[in-house]
Amino acid sequence: MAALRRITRCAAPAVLLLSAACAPTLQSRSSDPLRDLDVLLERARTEAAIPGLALAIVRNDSIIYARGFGVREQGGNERVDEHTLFAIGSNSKAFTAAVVGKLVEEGRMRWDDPVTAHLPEFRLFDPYVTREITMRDVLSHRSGLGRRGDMIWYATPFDRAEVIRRVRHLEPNSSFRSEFGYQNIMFIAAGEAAARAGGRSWDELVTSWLLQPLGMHRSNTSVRDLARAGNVATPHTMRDGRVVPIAWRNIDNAGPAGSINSSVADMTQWVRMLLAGGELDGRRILDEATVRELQVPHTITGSGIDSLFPMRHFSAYGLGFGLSDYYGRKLLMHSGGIDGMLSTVALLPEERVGIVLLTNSDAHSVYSALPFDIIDRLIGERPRDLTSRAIATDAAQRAAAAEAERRRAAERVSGTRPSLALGDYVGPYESPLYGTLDISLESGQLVARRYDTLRAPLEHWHYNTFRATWSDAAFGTTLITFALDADGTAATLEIEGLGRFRRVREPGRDR
Amino acid sequence: MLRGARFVLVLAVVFASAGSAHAQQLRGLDAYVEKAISEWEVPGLGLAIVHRDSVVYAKGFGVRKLGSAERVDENTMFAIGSSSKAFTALLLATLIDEGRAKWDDRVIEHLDWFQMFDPYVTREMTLRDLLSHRSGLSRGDLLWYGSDLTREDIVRRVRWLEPSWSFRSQFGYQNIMYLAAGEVAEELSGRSWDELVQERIFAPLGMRTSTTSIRPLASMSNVATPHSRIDGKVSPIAWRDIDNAGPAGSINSNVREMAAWVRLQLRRGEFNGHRIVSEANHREMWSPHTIIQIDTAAERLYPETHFRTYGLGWFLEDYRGRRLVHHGGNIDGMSALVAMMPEHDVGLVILTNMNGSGLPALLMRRIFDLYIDGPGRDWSAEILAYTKQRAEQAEARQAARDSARVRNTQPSLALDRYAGRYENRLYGDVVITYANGRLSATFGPAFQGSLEHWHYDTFRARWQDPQLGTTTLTFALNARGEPATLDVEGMGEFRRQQDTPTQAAGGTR
Repeated sequence: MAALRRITRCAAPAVLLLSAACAPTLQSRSSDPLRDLDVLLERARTEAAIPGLALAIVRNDSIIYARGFGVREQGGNERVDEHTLFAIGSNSKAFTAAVVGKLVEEGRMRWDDPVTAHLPEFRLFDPYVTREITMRDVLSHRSGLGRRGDMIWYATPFDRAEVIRRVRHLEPNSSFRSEFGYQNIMFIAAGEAAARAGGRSWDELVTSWLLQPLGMHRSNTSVRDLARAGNVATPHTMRDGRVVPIAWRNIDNAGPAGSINSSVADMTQWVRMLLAGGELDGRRILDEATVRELQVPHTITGSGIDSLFPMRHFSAYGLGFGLSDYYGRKLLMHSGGIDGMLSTVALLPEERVGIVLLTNSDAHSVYSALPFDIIDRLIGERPRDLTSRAIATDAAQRAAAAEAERRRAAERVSGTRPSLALGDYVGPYESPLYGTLDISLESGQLVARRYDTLRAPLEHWHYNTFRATWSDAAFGTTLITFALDADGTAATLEIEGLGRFRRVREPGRDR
Repeated sequence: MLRGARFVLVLAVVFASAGSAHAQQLRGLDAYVEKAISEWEVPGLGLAIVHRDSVVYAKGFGVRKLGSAERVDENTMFAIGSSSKAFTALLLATLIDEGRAKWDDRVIEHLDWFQMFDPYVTREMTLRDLLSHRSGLSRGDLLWYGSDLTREDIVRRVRWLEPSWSFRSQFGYQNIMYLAAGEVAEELSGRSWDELVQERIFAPLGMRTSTTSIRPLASMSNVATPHSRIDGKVSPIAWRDIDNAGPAGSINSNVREMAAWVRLQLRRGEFNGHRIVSEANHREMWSPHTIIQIDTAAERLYPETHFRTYGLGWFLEDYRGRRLVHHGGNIDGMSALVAMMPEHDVGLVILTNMNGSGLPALLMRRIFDLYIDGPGRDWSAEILAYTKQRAEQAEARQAARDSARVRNTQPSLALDRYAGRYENRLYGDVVITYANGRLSATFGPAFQGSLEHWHYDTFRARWQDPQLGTTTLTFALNARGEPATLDVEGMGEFRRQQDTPTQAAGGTR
């Protein structure tokens, strides 16, 4: 599913891997590390076809750089500046961890509390895991559920409670705590547990405990709040080789995993506070112990060994931050991505350096490379122009994806027919995880409907497989395959990437 | 139990690089080591350094036994303790190379009788888990230390060891899981762990005098004597037989032979062009598996390090922007360290005959600094000061505990009524006997001592073997006024058995 592929990449955690596609362009070291930054950013923006981006740099508790480049919407002339609002996506996760930290500070929660101590109805597939999983676990991607289940919340009518209720049906794909597996729904659970312990919604907790005291007055936790805010970037994606504007997506039901919107100017407040051990302008926002908890490793994310990053030896996840060693320093980094937006927050606490990069396109990997080129300038290491490398890699990957699509079309078997008359496939199909998919017959064509959010006409592909072209372009096209039972009745359908939906038989109306 | 006993097979540390100018690079090292062993009160030390696949330094310092004139040299035998764990991990890697198992195999696929306290953990525990200290279990070392249980007996008992932490939630150093790994290796190969070490590692590396047991040491001439601080004075002690904990730490060797082991490691599983283990499975051992939290004190003391983790048989950490691979070993009277800094293609082995010494870890840093860019922090002096401060704090804590003794109390019962056999399903029996107006306690073959009344129904056992220190024992009475349970410090509750003779000597475990 195209959308699934995309958010998979977008919400990629902390340490991003870039493949070595071309030789690095070496840049000469300059005395002023930021001298060529405007040129670097504008060039990256243009070459990666990003309509607008904004960057801010904090050093020694001062904002040494904050600028916007390009436009808020492709074809428009409203400029992006440091106050332009973007979706920060998964960079919201550290805010959720900080809210839990506040509850720990107030004695209303402990990091090692079982989640069920606060959400008694919370269940996972395995009873042992249900009993043992802690707040620390749900904030550090080690549930064993892997990076799955996103289609429970993405473009569904389910609220946070319903998303969490359904996750009990998600079978683990690795043994509990045995490996890293990026898990948005566990962050939703963390947010809901925090809301229960804090007596207010996650949105209210984030706003009153973090956004307001940090003076992040333009920031909010929902696209619903954007309507009354001016200076908002429009999301963009790539369709048919062109970068085009798309609608903001409401992801309120995944809020604690990624629904915060902010500007680089606002985000510098958050970054300054984290770099100062919890204080901003002399006011304590978080205890030093809380800030430390977010920054210590909880889950190993890989071997840490990567030929493109020979200076790195370890990579891990803290609570809402990816962690690694970088030229002998600790580096905190997290990326965020949701439809049409990609962002990165990076901190080097020992250097008292922080970087915020927000962009209004999801069709690039510059967000994951550019911060390294900037960090290298700031710490006096030789810049490696990973940005150019990323842009080249993106082009190669797009070509590979197009080729894969062509190959798939070629695999279509011609001259086959569905086993049954189209009307015999009609009915509701259900998955305990993802809910209902309705198949109906309209003007002689099968149509799939997912609640009132998604609709797709089904075109016969081959045998009992049909191709759905979804009304929401983010979902692209998907193959749906029906399977008959021994009676010759359509009993199940399988959506690629999501799994099996079982047909709901109405009582007494079985054939 | 065993407040005074420093038996825990543990840790240690890390490393450096340069050209052929070793003489120059290592100039001053001899004097540094001489001074350090004197300051740290280490009777004898062996040191070997490997650089670019060559042994560039191999030397002994001090004496094999305090009061004797026999010098330590590069051939002097020491216990390497837990540095043996990497040998066990490597044995499994060779068996995995042969396709007999996989790292993610469940333990129960190979040891069908293996059982942990929690059924989920029994089901999910993998070979990786056995080797990476994330079982959730702490303690249990008294199952093997000073006991006559076999390795298999010990692993079979672990089902009664209640977890201290939730499964895989944190690092918890666990020797018994290494015994289980040794049992798996035996099951896969049909050979004993000792034979496997001999055939698959010692023989191809030419480690001809190295052993997996203290027994062959008796017929060797150049062997260090273990030392420990007893009543404030560094004194020789007896070698401890830990054959029943072999895969967790029973190897004995010298720095010359251990240098071959370091060469094998730095060549990623190859020795003199001969491949012992595949590069891919060697990489697994050097990949982080379990995070070790660094506390704020350690963070301040060692700002060079941001990540501490455990691989499979190795500690892995960053040090001044480089990766360190290391493992120490501590068993009665011996402190060892094997450490490598692969980016500089350098490694070292430090073997000492002093109990629980911090010196090997510091000497490692000193030597690796030489390879990075010359002498750095004066680790020995800095950490010695810190260690002394910590020792004073520990003494103060002990004094505070001692002063918590309540004066003028009496045991509830006449002493002879406490006698009996007290049973714990994990550890077996503690037998309390009464003779000549005194109570005595016996636990296994090693722990025998008399009980001194402390306060109320609490007694303190002073073990005959001074290395074992003292242990607090508390009796609790039931409603009928009979002693019903005995709480043993560090071990838990033992229940009194009604059948028991009161004059028994010794007991089964």
